[in-house]
Amino acid sequence: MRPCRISAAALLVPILAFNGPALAADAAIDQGREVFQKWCAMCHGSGNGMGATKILQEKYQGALPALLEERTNLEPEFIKVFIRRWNPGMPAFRRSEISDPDADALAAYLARNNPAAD
Amino acid sequence: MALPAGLTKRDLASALEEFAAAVGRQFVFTSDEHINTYRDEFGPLRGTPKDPVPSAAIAPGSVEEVQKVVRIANQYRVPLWVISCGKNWGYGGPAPRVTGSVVVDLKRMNRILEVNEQHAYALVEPGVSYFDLYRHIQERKLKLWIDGPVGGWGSVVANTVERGVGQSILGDFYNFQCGMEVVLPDGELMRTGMGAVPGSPTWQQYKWGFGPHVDGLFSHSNIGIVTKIGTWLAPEPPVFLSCQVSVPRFEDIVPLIDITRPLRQKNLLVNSAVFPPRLGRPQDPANLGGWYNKIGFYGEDKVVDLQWQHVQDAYAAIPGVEFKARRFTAPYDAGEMDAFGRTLAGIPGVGGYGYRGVFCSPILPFTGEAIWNMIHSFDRIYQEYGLRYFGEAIHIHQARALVAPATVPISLDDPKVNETAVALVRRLIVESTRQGWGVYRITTAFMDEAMAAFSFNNGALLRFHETLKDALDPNGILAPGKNGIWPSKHRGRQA
Repeated sequence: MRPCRISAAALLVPILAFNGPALAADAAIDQGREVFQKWCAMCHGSGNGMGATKILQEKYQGALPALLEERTNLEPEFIKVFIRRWNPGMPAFRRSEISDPDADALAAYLARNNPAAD
Repeated sequence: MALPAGLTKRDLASALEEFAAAVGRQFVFTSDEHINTYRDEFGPLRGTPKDPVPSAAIAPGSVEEVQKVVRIANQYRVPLWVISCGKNWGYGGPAPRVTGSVVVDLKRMNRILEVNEQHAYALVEPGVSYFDLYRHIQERKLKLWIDGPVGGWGSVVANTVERGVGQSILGDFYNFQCGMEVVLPDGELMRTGMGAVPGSPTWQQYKWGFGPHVDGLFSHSNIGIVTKIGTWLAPEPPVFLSCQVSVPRFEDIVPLIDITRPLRQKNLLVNSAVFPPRLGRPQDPANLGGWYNKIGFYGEDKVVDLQWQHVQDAYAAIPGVEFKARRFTAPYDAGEMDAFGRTLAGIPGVGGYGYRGVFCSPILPFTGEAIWNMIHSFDRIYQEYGLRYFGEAIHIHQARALVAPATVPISLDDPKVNETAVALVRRLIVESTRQGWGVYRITTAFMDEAMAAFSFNNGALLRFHETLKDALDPNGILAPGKNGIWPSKHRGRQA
């Protein structure tokens, strides 16, 4: 029987196919982190007296993390709707600012620590 | 889809197809979900048939695309309404005056083209917010300060050409604008001032250029789309004092203003905004309380301390006056400052988005008598509508006049509140006109009334604006109705 050569590429295909969704999810989270830094961090970041973080600190009084990046219960669909409308203290973000793909990525980033669905 | 008067569905559809070819289909927004983000959140006409609704919004990404958009609009006679960051809260927001207009959203044009530390200026595109410019300077550790409105999301370009007001060294934003690039209503590209000399190194350094100084024609205006401005910045001061002068009684506003006037004229005070301590909180007519003046000193060690001492000596004439100060030195840490300190240091913040109201802001002589008269005149009118007015933050960004805002509350869901708001603002404009005040700026719903106050010689000023409008925008495509300036086809009737 001839030895069967299996190329490295052929091995990679099933590995990537198996890990594809996880890699895609990581990419979305990385992109979402960049979106957060660009559009959200100046108000919702930490340090330098970030206005929105302070406001949420007073609002939640420790019941929830004031830093959005530390939340574990922000639902992606809620995030995507919330950023598109004006809220007291926060402007609406249009598609000329945060595109729909960027909004999806931002939602993935902020929901990354949510408990896995049963 | 809302259709502008005089335009057929077919022509609008054709124009939208050509806009899509010009800017990219993904940057043409026509669904209700998208259009809703171009409505006026603070609009007093919200929920009524008169609330203007765009037909679409488009987001060009370059000057060349803006030029194409303007030429297409001329071909099909599509009215355009231009926004930069679309954060013109209390003044119409991103919404047009004419229903069915196509909103031209310049947010994608967000390059900071230059920040020059040696000559202390920046050259920016319309989509650059105060947050963007501040972050750019901080990341590069440039020794420059900016100034901005209370909320940092606004556009540097738009807030400057709309003549908005800050509270720091550069609070009279329009005064610090130097050089513009403008797309004219026929698509021609023009640069003003020294920018008209190809290769000039002083476009952002010398305002006047040669011949008539035309920058003002594109401020508060609708005869050009501003695609770049130069704005002067301030060298970072070695020492910054964040100070407060408080006076205990409501009537102390009179001497407070009268003492401030010569200090501003002599540039001992270079910024000023006077706040009543009950701003934003329910006011008890029997116990209105006093006022406080937040002032900053910016400059050299010992010099600023002497200036502050001199200013305290001047205000000491008011019985019960109190002083507070905090001293900061470079390098600065925004986290060490309170909110007012950061505002006085020109650090953009999140303020300004917690209220729902529109403004009527008369321009008064810089005297205590004038502000006292205005507060009581307006309060009498507010009471006719079941409300009260006891004064708000008075802007003293110029040394010879005051801008005294009066906020009228509006509601997202109570039409009666908005009916009251419309009637009250109109009444305040009538009073401002009667008193000879005029207003500094106003939301779109009242632009015609505000312009009507400037009626010397049977409205010669408006006729001049209309002459320019007819010459430069004969098809009337650019922001019809902005500040009461209508193209000829609309004149004599509202949109």
